[in-house]
Amino acid sequence: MVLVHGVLWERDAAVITLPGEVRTVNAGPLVALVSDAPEREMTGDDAVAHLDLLVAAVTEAPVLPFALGTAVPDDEAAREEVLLPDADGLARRLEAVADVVELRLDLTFDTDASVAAIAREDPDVHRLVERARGPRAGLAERLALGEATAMRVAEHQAALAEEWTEGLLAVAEQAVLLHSDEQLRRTAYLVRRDRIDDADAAVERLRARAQGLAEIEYVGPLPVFSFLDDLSSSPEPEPRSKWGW
Amino acid sequence: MTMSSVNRAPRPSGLADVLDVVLDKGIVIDAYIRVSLVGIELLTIDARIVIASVDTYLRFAEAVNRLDIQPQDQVAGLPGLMREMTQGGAKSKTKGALTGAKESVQGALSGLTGRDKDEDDEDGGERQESRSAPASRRAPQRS
Repeated sequence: MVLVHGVLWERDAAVITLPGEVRTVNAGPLVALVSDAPEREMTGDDAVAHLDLLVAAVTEAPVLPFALGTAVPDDEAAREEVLLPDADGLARRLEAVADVVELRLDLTFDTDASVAAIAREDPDVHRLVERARGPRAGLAERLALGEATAMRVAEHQAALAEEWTEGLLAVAEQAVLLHSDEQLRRTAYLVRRDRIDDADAAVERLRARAQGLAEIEYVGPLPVFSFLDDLSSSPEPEPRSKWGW
Repeated sequence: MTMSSVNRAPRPSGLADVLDVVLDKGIVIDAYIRVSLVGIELLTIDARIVIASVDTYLRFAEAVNRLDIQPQDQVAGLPGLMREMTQGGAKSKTKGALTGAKESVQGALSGLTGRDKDEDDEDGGERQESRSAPASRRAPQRS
């Protein structure tokens, strides 16, 4: 079995340094990056290798990421059943991602700091604390306090995140919130290649503002995993909110 | 493209975050009989469980309670609270509170997802390394 990792332009394949186990399969202007599937079941290491390959490729040239574990019997099947049947569609999608990459930003909040700020400032929470400590208080009172606190923490962190990421959002073509809980906010940004430096500068400013309140993890450039639908569904995407929702 | 001096990583460092990037993402070719999707061994992420919102609320309640006044006897911690929940006298009231909490959290925190079951990560299990939120899951590309 052969794994298909991604597709790029044939003219770009030459400029990418491929790991030894990866080879290319050509069909016209398109190239698929393939490798032999492991005999054993796929593991996390295979996921890391898949992503590493795509990251190495997208650093140099546009690449369409394929789903992890996309498998065909042999190289010929990669050509006949992956590249050729929808060559025009793949070419259109490659064009759509030509000038953009995905950058991801994780804000991991110091929840204790958020809770402390809320406990200091929020009169409703003060009242609920008193109730939860009353002589007849039980689980219901604690839950009410916890729910109110959780809501305030979420609001507090969302407001901070919005404020901090304003500059990065201005640089991005689109953004999508991938995950949000009481501690972590993970956002993907679609950024033009020629604006990555601007995005980096925005994140540096963000990092300074978030110091002591949240940890920052900033990753990229990645293939546009989070924007494939938006970029390739139609040649002329409809205007929409920058936030994608 | 050059790597600037900014602290930008080429990819996530942890396996859970790598999986968050690549699992269920990317173009899917499914119209041809010889193309298949090979599954990945998911032990690492199947170990996750969804923590009930009630637990989240109780942790926040305790966090607030600890802040400005000396802890009191009633701050029982989760094991104590669980005992309280199963005691007959408190049952009916508890059930009502739990139901209400669950309903409200589904509306308020619909993005809540998983959390590592094992608590031995370096942050003491506090950090939630999770797969992408269900609400943000994107349908695979179809070709």
